[in-house]
Amino acid sequence: MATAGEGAKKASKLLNDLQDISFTKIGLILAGTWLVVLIARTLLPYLAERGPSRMRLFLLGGVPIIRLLMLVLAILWVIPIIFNITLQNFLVISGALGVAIGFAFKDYASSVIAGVVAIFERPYRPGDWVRIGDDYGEVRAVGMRALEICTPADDIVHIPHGKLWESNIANSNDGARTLMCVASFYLRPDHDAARVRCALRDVAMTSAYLEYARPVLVMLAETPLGTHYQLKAYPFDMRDQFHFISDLTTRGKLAIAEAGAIETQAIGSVDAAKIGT
Amino acid sequence: MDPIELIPLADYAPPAMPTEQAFRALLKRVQRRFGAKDDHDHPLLPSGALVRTPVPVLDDIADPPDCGPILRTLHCNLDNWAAGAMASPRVQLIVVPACDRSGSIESWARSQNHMLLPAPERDDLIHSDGMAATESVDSIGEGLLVIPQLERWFLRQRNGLTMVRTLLARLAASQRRCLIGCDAWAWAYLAKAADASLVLPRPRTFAPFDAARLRAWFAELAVDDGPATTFRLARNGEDVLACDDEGEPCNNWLRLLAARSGGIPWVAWHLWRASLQVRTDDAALSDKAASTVTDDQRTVWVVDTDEFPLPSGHEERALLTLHAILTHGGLSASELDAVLPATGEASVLQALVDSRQLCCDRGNFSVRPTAYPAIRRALEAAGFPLGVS
Repeated sequence: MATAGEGAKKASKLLNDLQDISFTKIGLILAGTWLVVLIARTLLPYLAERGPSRMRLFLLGGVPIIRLLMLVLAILWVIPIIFNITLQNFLVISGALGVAIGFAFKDYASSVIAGVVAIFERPYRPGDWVRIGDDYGEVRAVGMRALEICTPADDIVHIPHGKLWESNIANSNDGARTLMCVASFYLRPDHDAARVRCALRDVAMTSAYLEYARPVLVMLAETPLGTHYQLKAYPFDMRDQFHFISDLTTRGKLAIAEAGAIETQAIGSVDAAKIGT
Repeated sequence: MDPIELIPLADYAPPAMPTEQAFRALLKRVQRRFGAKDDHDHPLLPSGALVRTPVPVLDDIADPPDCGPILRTLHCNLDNWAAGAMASPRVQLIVVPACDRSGSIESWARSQNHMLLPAPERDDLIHSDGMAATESVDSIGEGLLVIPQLERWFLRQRNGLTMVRTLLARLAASQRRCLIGCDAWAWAYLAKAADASLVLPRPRTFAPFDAARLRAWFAELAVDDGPATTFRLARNGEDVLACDDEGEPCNNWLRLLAARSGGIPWVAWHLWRASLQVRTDDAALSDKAASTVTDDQRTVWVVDTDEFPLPSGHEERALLTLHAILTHGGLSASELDAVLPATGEASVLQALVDSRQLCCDRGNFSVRPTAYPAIRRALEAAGFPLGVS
């Protein structure tokens, strides 16, 4: 009877006795986890920038996965050292955690959970170019709570993973090494459209940045601003996208002038998106 | 050695690098990345004991041209076809691997007195529609028309594709029999930019030179009127050209060379010549080395050649430059300016010449065959579109 009572008493204890908790072991586990994550965060991007281009996204994508695995491993290792794990205690801890998260850390927990979902669903990975809300840029890092993107203006923007629940995420390359680039031109309507199309196609075909394996497209549509030409093509490396667009634009202007067409004056105050372009 | 085959371009597979050497090369690259210096350790010979082989000696033991077996292949595969007035196919395209400085297709055509269609001047590529330059494609002739370098018919510039498109259109409409040679890098580009693969749908190329073919070729070249030459590895004294009963080399050095050169004969030939060294007159041999060369009439030592790095801080510009030069089979400085994006950066041409990546012949810059393997690897690592062989 005494033994059964002792067992019940022991089972109802939430925490292990202080003398049974090995703080040294916990410290070593946490330090080891932190060290592995730090090495992964430092070494993989270093190798990605210096290794073959085709390996870059693969290496960058490994960072959040390694961090998640290490954290899960550390938590599963540390919990039994501190807590006396029984079904009853599990329910107690879960309840307490639920209340704490519900009141104090709801948004934080939501972002952390969204971060875990993002690792598996992969709407973005380090190295991808994404648009979330009004922000467009390269995903530099995927953290526990937020991702970090670097915009073309070299601003670093931190976006909570929680955005995953409420907004659309446009991924321009989705893990590929290239993405579609678009150079836009607005021309006065009175011109030889076939000639301009051919000239613009050759502008893309003769770019030093062109990826041969992807298509080159020239699209046009009439808009209140004039005839809108979109020259769409892919660079062989997405990091060259702005060089590529600049090259297409520079040479495209010359080709348009040579084809006898005239560009309309750019009207900065007009929001092209509102007028159906 | 026996002539090699012409194979469909799609079947071209460069020789694979032996596993051990692949790991060694990877390790060496990692060490170099972290600043370690290459050690040229020749246990058999004291430091400074070897010097570059004098050119006259090189011309005895590895004589030019660098495309000898290719010329034999062309004779073997094309002479009968060229002679038959009704032989099929009417048009043949041969994709030539990069760095063919000898102009193998043109040499073969001249030796057979076939009519050549010379490439236009590069300046004319921008300002001409090509109708005059391509007239002879339409002319009714009995003989074969040879267009040896299709890569000389375009410039990767806004108006630089007109001429090659005119030529391809005339080829498609003509009844004349033609042989066309095109550089592998240019073909990859023209297939995209000018839909050349629709007009010339079945390109062929030379079978890759593997270790056995290289051994047979180098052994054949080494035979001259002088004493018999033994080629020994400087690091361990092994005879590089020694082979087993099936003609396969006994050591991996030639396999490594075949893989490094991508199976391209002239690249392998230039690397072979660059790796041959002789002992200085005052260099003493160690006991081990002396016993190794006892039976040799003449010993030439084979060393590993260096690879030169791209100009530091200008790698991207350097790669764009090298890619443009490979795509056109050589360019002048002004042509290069026309085909590269105007970024306002300083030209890296001189730096590439100084680092022995490029050579300049009468103002025309081209890639050195000895630098080609490293350049191709760098372009591949940076994601550039590559040549098809």
